[in-house]
Amino acid sequence: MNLLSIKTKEACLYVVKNKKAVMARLLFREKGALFFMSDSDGSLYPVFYLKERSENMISIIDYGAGNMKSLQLALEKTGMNSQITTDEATIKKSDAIILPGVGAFQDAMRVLKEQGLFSIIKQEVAKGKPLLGICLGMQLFFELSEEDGETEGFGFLSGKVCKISGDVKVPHMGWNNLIKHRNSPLCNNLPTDAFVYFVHSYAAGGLDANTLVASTIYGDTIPAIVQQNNIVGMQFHPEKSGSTGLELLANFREMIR
Amino acid sequence: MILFPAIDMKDGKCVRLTQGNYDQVNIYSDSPVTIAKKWESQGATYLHLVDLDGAKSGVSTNQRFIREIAQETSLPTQVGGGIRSIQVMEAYLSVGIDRVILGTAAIKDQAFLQAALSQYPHQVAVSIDARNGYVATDGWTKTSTVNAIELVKELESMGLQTIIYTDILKDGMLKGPNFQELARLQNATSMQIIASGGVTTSKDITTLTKMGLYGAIIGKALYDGSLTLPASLEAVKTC
Repeated sequence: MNLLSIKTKEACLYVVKNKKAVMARLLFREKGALFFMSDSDGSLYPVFYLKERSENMISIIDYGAGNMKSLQLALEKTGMNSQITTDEATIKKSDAIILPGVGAFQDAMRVLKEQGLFSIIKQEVAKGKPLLGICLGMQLFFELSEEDGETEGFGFLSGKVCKISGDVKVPHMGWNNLIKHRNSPLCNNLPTDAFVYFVHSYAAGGLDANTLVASTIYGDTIPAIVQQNNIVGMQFHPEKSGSTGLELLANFREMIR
Repeated sequence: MILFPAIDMKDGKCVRLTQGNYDQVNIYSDSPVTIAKKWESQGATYLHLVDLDGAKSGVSTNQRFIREIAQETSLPTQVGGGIRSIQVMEAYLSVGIDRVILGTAAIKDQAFLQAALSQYPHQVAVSIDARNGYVATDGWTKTSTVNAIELVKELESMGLQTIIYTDILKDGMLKGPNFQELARLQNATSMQIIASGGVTTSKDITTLTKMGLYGAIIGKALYDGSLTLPASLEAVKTC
């Protein structure tokens, strides 16, 4: 039973009483315990736990315009609380950081540096805090991007971000399948034919083969999931990729502990 | 090709009109959100939401349900109907809608379209509703003198990336899309074309996929059961 990863306000469980299964619904919660009440006779059943998963707090870095509501709700569905923030103390306290994907590379790096977020993120990542970059957020992990002239990124991963090449429409907006390059817990429970939703004009290239978890083909090979220790990048939008996307976010959650 | 199950909303209900006629309304559900979740659970990859009240009067009345759908599903969504200002666009984009569809507004007010495209180049689609090759406006109640193909070329030169082409005479008739007109369009532009209107059978979907269209909207056929979503998705895959 994986009780705590489901939405707790709808939680219920079955209790065996007199050899019969009776349903008990979540009545209230206290720190460290959930109290269920049976439908039939109102008996209380406490369920104790050590650490509630949804206590994980994720900082979604707010570095400019763009909608992050969908991401926040997708995280909620996979049992992660999050806040959209630029606050240093909040980011430091959080269990993981998500760098979402909005706008252009150069603007993003400028805002991150101006607001001091660049160095905060670098410090936290160096301490081993899980970091997920989505779309542009993943591209920022690389050394360099050719978008709007050459701009340096975080340099967490080696490689350069270049315009999508080949005889295909740019931006790439659509669903493509993930081709696995190596085994990673990030790909646990994915269907064999996992499709995810991309919206991007640039893609990473020349990366270290060890960091590539999954790719897709669009004009050329596009790195779709990259990982190096606590750093995870997804070129597509997991929050828009249906059940596959939620599964990927849940797999990222497993890295947080 | 992306299949877009359509969720047309009128007075907070999920409905279908026949040939865009507001007097021929079929109500399919009182809860558009439930319908959206149903399509998601059946494998939909993108939802097409229409605010019919907004399309007709320019005033959006179904925004609450559209927001709920954007937030309670984990799918990309596009919305059309009554989007005639940057403010309304921004309101939609800020709640998690991925693409806004401009119709009447874009044809009547090119300065607005230009502004929309410069601010959100990848998040705007223009819906071209045509009747006999000419563009229809105001919730399909008026036909203009604008030639659809000429309009498409003009829109492309302005930087538009996606168009939705609805053949009013085919919509809700379950008699197949206007393949001829779509092929002409596909030749005339390199924009992403989403076909709408008349998609009825798996074969229609296969044909559209083979034509290389970016997407197709399915409406009535899904709601009256002549086509299931899983079968439709399968038809795209087996091409």
